Amino acid sequence: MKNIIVITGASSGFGALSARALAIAGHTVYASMRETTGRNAAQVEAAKQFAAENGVDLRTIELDVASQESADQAIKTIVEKDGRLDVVIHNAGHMVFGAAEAFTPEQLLQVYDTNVLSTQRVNRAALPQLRKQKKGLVLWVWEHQHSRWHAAVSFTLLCGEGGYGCARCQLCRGVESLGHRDLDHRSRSLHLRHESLRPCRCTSRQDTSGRVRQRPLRASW
Amino acid sequence: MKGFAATAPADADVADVAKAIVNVVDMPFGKRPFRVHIDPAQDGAEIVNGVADRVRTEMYRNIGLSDLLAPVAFSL
Repeated sequence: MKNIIVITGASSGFGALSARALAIAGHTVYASMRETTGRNAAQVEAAKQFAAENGVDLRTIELDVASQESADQAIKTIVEKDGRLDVVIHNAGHMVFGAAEAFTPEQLLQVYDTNVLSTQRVNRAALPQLRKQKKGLVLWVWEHQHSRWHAAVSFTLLCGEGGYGCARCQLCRGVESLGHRDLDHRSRSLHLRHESLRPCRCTSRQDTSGRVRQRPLRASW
Repeated sequence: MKGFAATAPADADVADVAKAIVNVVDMPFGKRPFRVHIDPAQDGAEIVNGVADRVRTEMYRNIGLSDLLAPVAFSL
């Protein structure tokens, strides 16, 4: 069955790849990303070219997961165009790396916002539509850190993954507690080996003396 | 980070993730697995999640919410 799909953070990495693979499989895919007319304009063009070359229905749409207004607008646009939305794929995220102590509370809040609250915005925009259709699929993509936390083998995580790991761990366990009788919102998660498959976007790094040099959290996007 | 990178086998393929996503989407409603692991490095997440999911399932049953364990298309 052909689905109408929206995937977040689809300007690059797993998001871009998955959007293309889903389009090839015959679905209508909205590769969502922020700054479609700014720094991601080239990604918009690349998606358009991919769609033309392969004769598939891959589209892009502006969706900044940091903004409820943007999420609302994106979902509204999709439903207006296609009349429905079948699948929401939470893929957007932002890795940070550095000693946990080095992050200011404000920076951790931002990590939490990007990696956790972002999905809440998209869900609040999209789930009423899925519920209206009486079924839908919400698919979550994340990495393994949270598992290592729960395995109490987390020293690997604590050596730098603290800020990010905390946030993603919170997201993972939060998602597992979601139960909706009316939707296929028992979340499907794809556990990914983050380190091996996705270029790391470091936002702080430790120098040889062990001090952490912080850079603005968004600087490396 | 180097240590992390070293745990991944050289043939780890990023496309496996996209393929897995397509597979999950294409499965029929109600038949999809709760989780899919793509873990070329075999870092143990599948074991941890297996335990966590089992305990969570038991808890849902114990508190009378087992109907949340499988999705059901719902008539409003």
